[in-house]
Amino acid sequence: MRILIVDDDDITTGMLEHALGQWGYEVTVADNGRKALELIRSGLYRLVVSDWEMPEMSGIELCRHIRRRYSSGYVYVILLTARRGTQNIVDGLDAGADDFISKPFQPQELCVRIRAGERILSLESREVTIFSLAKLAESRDPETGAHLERVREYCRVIAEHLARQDKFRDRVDGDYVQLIYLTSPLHDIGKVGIPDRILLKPGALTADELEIMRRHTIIGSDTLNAAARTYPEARFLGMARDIARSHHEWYCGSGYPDGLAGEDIPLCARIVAVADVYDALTTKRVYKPAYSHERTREIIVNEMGSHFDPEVAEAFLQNADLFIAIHDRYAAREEKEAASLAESQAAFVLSR
Amino acid sequence: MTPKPDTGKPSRGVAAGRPGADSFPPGVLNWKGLCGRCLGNLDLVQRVLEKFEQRLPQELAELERAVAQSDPEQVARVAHRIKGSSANVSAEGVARAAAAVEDLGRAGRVTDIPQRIDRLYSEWERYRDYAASACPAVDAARAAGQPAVNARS
Repeated sequence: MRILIVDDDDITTGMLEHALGQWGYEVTVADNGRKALELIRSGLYRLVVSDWEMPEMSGIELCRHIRRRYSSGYVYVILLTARRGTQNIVDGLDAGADDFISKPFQPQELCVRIRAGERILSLESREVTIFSLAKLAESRDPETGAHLERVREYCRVIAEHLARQDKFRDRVDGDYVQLIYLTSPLHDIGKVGIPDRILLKPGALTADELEIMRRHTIIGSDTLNAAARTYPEARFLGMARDIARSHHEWYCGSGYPDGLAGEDIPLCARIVAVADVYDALTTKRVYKPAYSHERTREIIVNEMGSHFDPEVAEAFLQNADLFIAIHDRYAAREEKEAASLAESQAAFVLSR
Repeated sequence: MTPKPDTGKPSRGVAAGRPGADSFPPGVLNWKGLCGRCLGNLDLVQRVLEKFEQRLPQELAELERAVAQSDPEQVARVAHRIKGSSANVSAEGVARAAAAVEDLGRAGRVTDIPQRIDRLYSEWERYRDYAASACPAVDAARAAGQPAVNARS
């Protein structure tokens, strides 16, 4: 585990570095907040121990900077402080600090607080596990590329928009946004139970095959429901189950598997429906080319109130620029990957 | 392992974490605290003390300049730094005196500061007197290959 120490006093950093090094941590020292921020943005550091008062950028400002910018992994911040009193604790927590160590540090305290940080960070690996599982399920259907990555980003954009609307504010908060980002990649997890001859069939499906294909919603939700019943306190399992089951429901009631309508369809599933369809339309599939954003937008607008919840679709319309940016970002990445793959294949051929 | 409890009895060498510590009046240098923070690594203890002794005179000079410029904010900043490093070194008297200077700097009480700085100088002198006898004790203990305390729980 790498730890970043931030302090302008090299006597203190020398002692901290020695102690943490003795306990097996890999330690880097930054003597001011700006350098620390640069190092943190490299993505290599998940645990930061920072002094509170430093010239240029204080530990509090450093915390704020870390929290302001989205990063792929959580950065756990412990502030070193001689300050006591509720107001200081509140200020620190408010800026985004996770814990405090009193100064001068005591090795035993340092050790247990670092371990507490490691425990929190290990919880985050849950998210990675969930996503890997979803990718594994998706790997049988190789055509979809970064579908899951894009869908969860689209879901986040929609949920963040809803969180700002009066009607949804009570239900859609920061936790909800996190949860849907976490669970939306599981929407098609039930496809693992669909036989290859149907899942990978190039032509149109017969009525019977379509019936079997549609069972992926039931297979996925049954599996997740069993887990949700065992761990009722894990909200993400409940949401994952709802999404897996109901993301093919239509707002007007003509979807599957349950023919739910309107608000009877869980909100998370109504959100995934828009995100999933937007991605399916704007990317190339065996049976169709990639549609432009404009054409896709038109289709979604036409199906507001029939297929899609009008308010969720409205959230998409209001954030169209973000959808385009997400789509383009992954398209550029896939092009780059394809180019480097072609290059290495060419190099391989030449080397023979 | 936890640090050995302080029995208050005279002890021999670093095994007890306080070489010669019985001769230190409380409040000057908390040997046990320093050794603990260094996890009993006496080389580190020595490096830390050397660095501290090199740096403190520079910082005191910086403090004097800030006073001469009637810049209480700068006084507070420098005093804060001295407080931090001396607290980590367990130079408790220096840390306390620096904290008092920092408080006055923050409160902007410029006229009271020089008196507190005198106090800081006195504590620094006291520290140096004791450190002068402590460092040879460290050297001796290390030369004798005494096991060091390990403060990790």
